[in-house]
Amino acid sequence: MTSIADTLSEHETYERYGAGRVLFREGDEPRGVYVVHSGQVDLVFSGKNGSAKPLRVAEDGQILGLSCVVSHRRHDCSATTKTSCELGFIDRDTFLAQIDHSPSVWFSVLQLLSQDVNSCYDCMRSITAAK
Amino acid sequence: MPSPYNLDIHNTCTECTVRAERLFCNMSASSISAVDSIKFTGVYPKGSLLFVEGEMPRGIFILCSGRAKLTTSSTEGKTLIVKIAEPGEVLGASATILGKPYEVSAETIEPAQLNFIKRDDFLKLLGANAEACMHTAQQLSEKYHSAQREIRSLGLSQTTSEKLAKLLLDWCARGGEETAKGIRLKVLLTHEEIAQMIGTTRETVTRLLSDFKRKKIIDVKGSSVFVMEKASLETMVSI
Repeated sequence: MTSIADTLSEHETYERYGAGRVLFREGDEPRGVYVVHSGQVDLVFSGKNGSAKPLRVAEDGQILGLSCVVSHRRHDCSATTKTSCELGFIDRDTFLAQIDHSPSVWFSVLQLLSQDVNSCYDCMRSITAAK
Repeated sequence: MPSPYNLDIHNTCTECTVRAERLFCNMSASSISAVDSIKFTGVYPKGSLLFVEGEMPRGIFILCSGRAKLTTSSTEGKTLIVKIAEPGEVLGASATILGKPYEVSAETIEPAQLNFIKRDDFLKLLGANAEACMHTAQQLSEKYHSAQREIRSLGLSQTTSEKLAKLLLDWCARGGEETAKGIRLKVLLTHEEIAQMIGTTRETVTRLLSDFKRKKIIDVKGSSVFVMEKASLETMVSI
């Protein structure tokens, strides 16, 4: 569990989902963030011709939709539960209000975003190695 | 007195005339003063290696002017350019925040001014200044989405010509200049570097550019590429 998830836990709405539940789709406006407490979530890209490409699998402790909420962007991938999952949801306004003016919570956000960036670089190395 | 490499050098962040246009530096006066008090200004020639993948983080670099390429290497030793960083970007932030080795290498591809902030000073700034945190978060988000775009291009493109077409279209969208001959792109990268951006070989890039030229989709004059048939490139792209 990340420290930010601890800080924000009182604002989360907890839900259990079966496998195959779509959390958000590519192009959607972010409604908020999902904290993964257990299970796995597939993050997937889709091409113009309908082809899909797995980006990565998110696991417990990770927060989905963070960069989109922070930078006010639409989701650039889709998220679907891969297994049964326990997820916490925090709507965007509540999330931003909680982190605003608090460097310590912000720092946790920065650590999570940094991990997301590094995951992308890992993914790029894997794709390049596989070609 | 002429400045090094004819760069318009800004020694003081608070007096920088382009600060308002830059995502990270466009902070309140008090926050940018805090940045200014801990930064070291440097001017670097083309080809300067700022940090190397695997090296423990010494701090961050704010790219004030010029451009830099960010590269990573696969376990097989293939080099991939993950991004061409533009003025205003912060380099090395994720490693500096996590205290883990740099995930990429950074090298200037033209003369550049960079402001360096030592890791301890940067972490102290983030610990005391929520606005600096927010601007850093925006920088990291930008890096994340840029990396996602690259993964999409690398992973979903069916052919190398599609990847090259997509790269040219991205350049048109970001910095293309409309001319009577077509959209002019100033390309500072070698064919080898273009190959490293799309995960192929230099020979393939040279062959594909010649092919595009033969079909009158593009023309090449020195370091400029003119995109004459943008629609033809768009039909090649499926993502």
